[in-house]
Amino acid sequence: MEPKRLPPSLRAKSRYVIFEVISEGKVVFEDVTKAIWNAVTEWLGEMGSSEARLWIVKNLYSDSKQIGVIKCAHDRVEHIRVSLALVKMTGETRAIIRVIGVTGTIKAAQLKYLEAGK
Amino acid sequence: MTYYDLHVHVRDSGGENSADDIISMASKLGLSGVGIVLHAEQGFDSFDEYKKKGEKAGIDIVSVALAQAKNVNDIKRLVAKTRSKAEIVAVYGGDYDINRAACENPMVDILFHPERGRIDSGIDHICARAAAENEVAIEINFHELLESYRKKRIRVFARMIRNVMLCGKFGAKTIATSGSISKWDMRFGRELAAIPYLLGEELGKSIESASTIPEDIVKKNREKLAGKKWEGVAVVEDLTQFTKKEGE
Repeated sequence: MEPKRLPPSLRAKSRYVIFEVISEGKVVFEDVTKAIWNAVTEWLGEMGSSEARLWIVKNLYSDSKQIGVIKCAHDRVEHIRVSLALVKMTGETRAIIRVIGVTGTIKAAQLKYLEAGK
Repeated sequence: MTYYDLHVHVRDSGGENSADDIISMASKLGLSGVGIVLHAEQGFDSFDEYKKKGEKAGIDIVSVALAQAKNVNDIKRLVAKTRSKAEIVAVYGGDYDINRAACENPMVDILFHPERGRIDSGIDHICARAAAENEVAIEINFHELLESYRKKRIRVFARMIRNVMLCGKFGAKTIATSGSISKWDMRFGRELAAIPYLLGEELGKSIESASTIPEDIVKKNREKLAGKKWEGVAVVEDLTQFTKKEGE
């Protein structure tokens, strides 16, 4: 038996941070993930990172546009912003990660930022 | 919302990139205005060229004169020399006497990185009170965090927390800037605005530190440079609108 899904009032509130990677060369998802995790753990520490409940959504990353989505705790958005700003390199190339928007649902993230440019 | 980054170096002021590169990166990042820093000892002729380039790309280029002084008297000299030429006059902080002299000088607009190279935060309650009275903004420099690691970054952040606390207590303004040497050190204004929030400011105030506060300083100084002398008084060129027409 598996635990039942919590009622909405007991579920942790999340935000979806949509980011864009501006880089010298092309960057792949693995490099971006590594750079983000390194920056977040370095900036927030292990305890802070666990409180931020960071999750990089793999299937929403666009290799061509270099746009992706991070799921995090609703009260840690500013901490994630600063962590992303502290990224200097992704893989072997110099890069800047810019937050282009924050949404409350994954659907809004797709409609507003990911499908809008198609 | 308009975001300004008032501390960006170009090749002429010890940076890595040309003004063209900085302007193109600023438009990629979505910044409304960029303050290009030139040293007070240099000439400011190149600002006109930067401004024209900025206008083409839709970026408001602000001239920032950096007074890098060796002593207190030097500050007075450099500030007086550059006040009528540049839109923003900033002082290179770090030394306590220089930090205090900058805070006590109403001709100064911004005190850059007061905590640089120090074991304390560089400003105390006297400086913070003077900064509030003389409308000198205290800079929160992102480059200081970006270029430091672990123990050093923790110490820099702790000093910034103290500065933000003092500014909040005495009502001095804070400004979030990138302090970038290269175009890859530049960041979008909203990311810069998140740093004062983590340092203890309210979210609304921290957003203002990268948007309305720098914009207001630039606007006020432009008006002063254009000839406006007092608050609420404007120079009117065409007086016909105030004269009575015949038959009235």
